[in-house]
Amino acid sequence: MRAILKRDFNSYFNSPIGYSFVAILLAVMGVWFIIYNCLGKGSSLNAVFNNSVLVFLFIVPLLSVKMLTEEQKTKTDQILLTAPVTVPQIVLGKYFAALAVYGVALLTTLIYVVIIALFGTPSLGEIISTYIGFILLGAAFISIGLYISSLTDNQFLGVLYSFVVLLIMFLLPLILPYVTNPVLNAVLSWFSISERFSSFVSGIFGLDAIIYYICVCAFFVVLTIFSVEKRRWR
Amino acid sequence: MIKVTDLTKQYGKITAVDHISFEIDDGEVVGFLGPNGAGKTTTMNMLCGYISSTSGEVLIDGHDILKEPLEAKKCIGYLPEHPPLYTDMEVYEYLGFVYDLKKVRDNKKQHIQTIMEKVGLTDVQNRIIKNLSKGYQQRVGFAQALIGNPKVLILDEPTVGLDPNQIVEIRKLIEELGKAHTVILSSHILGEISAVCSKIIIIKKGTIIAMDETDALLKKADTANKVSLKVMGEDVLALLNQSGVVLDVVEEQRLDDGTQTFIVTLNENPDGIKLLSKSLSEHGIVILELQKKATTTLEQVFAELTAKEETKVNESHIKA
Repeated sequence: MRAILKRDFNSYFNSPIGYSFVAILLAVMGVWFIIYNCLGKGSSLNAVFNNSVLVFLFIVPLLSVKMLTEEQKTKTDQILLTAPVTVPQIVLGKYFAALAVYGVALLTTLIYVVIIALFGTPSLGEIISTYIGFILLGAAFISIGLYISSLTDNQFLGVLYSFVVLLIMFLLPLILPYVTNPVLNAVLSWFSISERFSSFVSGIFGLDAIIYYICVCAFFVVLTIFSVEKRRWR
Repeated sequence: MIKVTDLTKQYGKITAVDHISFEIDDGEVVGFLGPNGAGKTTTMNMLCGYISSTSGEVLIDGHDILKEPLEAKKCIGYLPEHPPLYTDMEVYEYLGFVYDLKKVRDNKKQHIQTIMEKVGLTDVQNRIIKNLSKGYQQRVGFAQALIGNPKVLILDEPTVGLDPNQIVEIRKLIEELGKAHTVILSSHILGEISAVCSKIIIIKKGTIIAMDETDALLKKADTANKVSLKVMGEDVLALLNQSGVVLDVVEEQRLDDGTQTFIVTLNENPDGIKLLSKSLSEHGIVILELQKKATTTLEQVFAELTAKEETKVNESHIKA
């Protein structure tokens, strides 16, 4: 697993994908940072993070393609599947590599915290809570991207599917109030992933939200493992 | 070393591999021969555990590839038809990744260097794989399969797409590797397989139609006793049948200028050709051409074997 993690992580930064990922995240957050903190003269980063959630719509498909779609296309998955490693190890290796890229991107956003700290007094608790929320939210979205990338070996479709699925998830909170069937409502609200993030932003460190996000990640990682296994059994 | 029992793979309604069984001993170099679409790659993919089988069993060194995949896969080095290369990596870096992936315990640097020397990659070890020529990429594929010194090497069409010089090199390499490993290689070129393999398995439409030692198999399909004959004269057919050295005659062509062409199957008599030409010239027949037919192509062996196979089937139908 470590070998796969290391190789994948390096490969993100041997191609424009890793850098694009970091650049897009920084750019989108930068725009909100200028609006709320520079022009609005606020010292809280909440609004920046809250508004930046949409960025996942663009960066997750970017990672998603690289994770499994490309391997299936170029048949490099042959070396992984015929090596003495298990499918869960392969999938986790790939997932953690993508998470590591996300981690690097998040580290670069600390520059905004530093700027705030230089010119004002940021609320440390709030920032930590927001970062933890953002990490969990990203991990959940990336796990969805991972699953989608296992479904196709067509790179264009891979991007399209991830984009559409994420778009639907973002639109869910808008639709939810109009869904009257209680069962359907419960199911849909489970899938409206970005919803629970807002509690972190307000500095509420809810255990239920943390467990929820970890469950989402585990759910999609397991689905991916099944999906890769299924490919071999077809 | 490798034991395959009733291995079957179905893709939906299509049966790609149909109940094949064979056994390969330690240190054998076995050729898998068949036309495109015969099921060679599917079989190899199942042997390596890349895809699963619909039914049947594959044992590698006593380990079932589906039940004990990790133990079985440790014994295998696989070179697929398209080498699975991460083309954005450098050669050494890539081989290092494979070393880690296969969890090899050795002196990493030395292990990789030895293999690179063996396949001739030392000069390009710091080049990015995608910038290498097809021949070198194939060598990287070989190196990847060799990492960890697996007992079994499975090579799927290792010489496809290479130029003649590279083919010779790769063949030499396979011969070399055959000394220390059990090797299975697939090809649709007979010459390639008969040059390096001690045993041949011929498959067609997912079933094994012949499996034997290379020499025995070539003999079976041998056309060495066949000669093509172009003559001018009268009553040649009757004369041939009386000559005492001929088993079978097929008339191929008769031209207006009086020349005739025959395919003659001679009997076991070692002086067959001599006796034949002597007897023909004694009767005043002019021999324009007399040539031994050579068996060199898969097409002939294959046609020969499949023809036999089909007659057998027809016979059994009639009996039934």
